Amino acid sequence: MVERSEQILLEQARAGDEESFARLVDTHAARLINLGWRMTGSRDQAEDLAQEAFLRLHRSLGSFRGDSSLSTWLYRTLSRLAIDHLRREKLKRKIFFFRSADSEQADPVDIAPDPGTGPGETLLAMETGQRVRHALQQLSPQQRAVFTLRHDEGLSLQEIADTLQLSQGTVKAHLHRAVTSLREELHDLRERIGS
Amino acid sequence: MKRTDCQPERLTLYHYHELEETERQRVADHLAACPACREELEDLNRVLRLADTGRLEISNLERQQFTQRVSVAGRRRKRSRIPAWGLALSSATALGLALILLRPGITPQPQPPQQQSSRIFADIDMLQNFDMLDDLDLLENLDLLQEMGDLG
Repeated sequence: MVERSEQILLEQARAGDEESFARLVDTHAARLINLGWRMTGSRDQAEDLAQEAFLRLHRSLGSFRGDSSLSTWLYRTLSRLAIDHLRREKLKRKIFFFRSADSEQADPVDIAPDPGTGPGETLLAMETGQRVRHALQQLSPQQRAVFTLRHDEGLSLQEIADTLQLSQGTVKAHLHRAVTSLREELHDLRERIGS
Repeated sequence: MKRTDCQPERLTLYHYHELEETERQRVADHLAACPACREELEDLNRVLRLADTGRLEISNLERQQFTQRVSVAGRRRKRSRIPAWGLALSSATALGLALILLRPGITPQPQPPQQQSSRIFADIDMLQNFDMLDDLDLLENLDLLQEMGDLG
């Protein structure tokens, strides 16, 4: 359910108060951008997806009844947008033969070190980051969404099922396949890093 | 110890604390007696630790800029809906006038049905090409991609 303060902001936004809508955006922006970043691996893309989710909220203000929390509604919308985006990207790559889904190297831009990391970061840690990002890219869009929501966002399987409108059994299967795929992709790395 | 108790799916759920209490206890008992599954679980824990991607730090300024960006995009989208109605109305008016004013002499001659339908298909193909990259359903239904999918 929507919290009281949020309910007031929603009502004011519904009445056309742009400032109230901006406050709602400000409250949820960081979490939503983070979710988009984890799902796509790109900050720019994450911001675009988050923006689209907020614009859809703006368009749906009249019909938003508050049965689920605003946060859940935004999570659901962004997850679906991210899954569609990942599916589209995968198909585009297939069409243009830029790289095959499972054999060639990842795009150098995608696997470049995070600019936020400090200069003291070791080569091994950088390689680990690149390999993990690459391994995550190999997951199917739904596997990646389920894995991100469980592993990074800490949602329960039931919450993920509600968010993605899947059965709990399907969520379990996606999660297990995602974990299996990551283990296969990172097989050599975990041996080098050791226990 | 039964070999059938070694189920990797359950280890994933065990790691994420997604098993009910009795099931969780059963897996814990099994792990105590099965070195292979213990090794499997340790391995799984190691990989999942590697997969911790951390958190994107977003400063207050960046958040404000993003909020501003959403507000501007919202206003722009709202404005763009109004001219769309105007454009549709003026197009309909122009079409109506053209139908009234166009004399029969300059009306295009009807084409044979077969020629007409092939042109329609060509036009549809062209339109689809323009929109292809943004139309997810269309992309997924392309025969080429389905064949590629079958080949792995």
